[in-house]
Amino acid sequence: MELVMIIAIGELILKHGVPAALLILREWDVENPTLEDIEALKLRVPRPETFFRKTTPNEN
Amino acid sequence: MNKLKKRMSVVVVFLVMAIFIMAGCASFTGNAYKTLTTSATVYESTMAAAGDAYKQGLITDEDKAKIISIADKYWTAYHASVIALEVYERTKSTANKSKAEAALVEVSRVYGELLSIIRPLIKKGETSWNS
Repeated sequence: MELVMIIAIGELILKHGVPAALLILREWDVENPTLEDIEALKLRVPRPETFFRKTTPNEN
Repeated sequence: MNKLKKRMSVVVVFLVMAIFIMAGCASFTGNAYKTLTTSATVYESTMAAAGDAYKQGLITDEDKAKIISIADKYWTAYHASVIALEVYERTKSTANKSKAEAALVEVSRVYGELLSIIRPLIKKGETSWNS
């Protein structure tokens, strides 16, 4: 994992505290991801524009 | 100050755990998967903060366009990385592993670029909000 990512995680935790740490740790529960787990990653990241709309950004 | 110390200690504990977990994780796919899920979480949080700041009028339309432009590159790099990981997982070839590694590096690089744009804007917004 790149240093920039580790720093970004640290900042996230500084801002949001323990819940952010727990969220990330929960995601790290998957030791041996399957192809389905990897496929599911495609749905994780919404298009950038959705965050600037008035509705909630859960679209892809 | 106590709150800050508590948060700092949480960060330190987490970072130490992260280093041990990453050191202990033998599988390339496992490591790559963790990197991508974490990247997605951090991206969502960062972009949500930018979106909130924009809706509060703390980020201009010009800055919003800048953010979307870089975030678009991140989105593309992230999905390319997921596909590269999927291809590696199906084939287990050395060549595909190298491609997946390169794709992961690109995701981190672009995310760093995105953060360098968003962070000062959000900080500027927080300062405006607090003044």
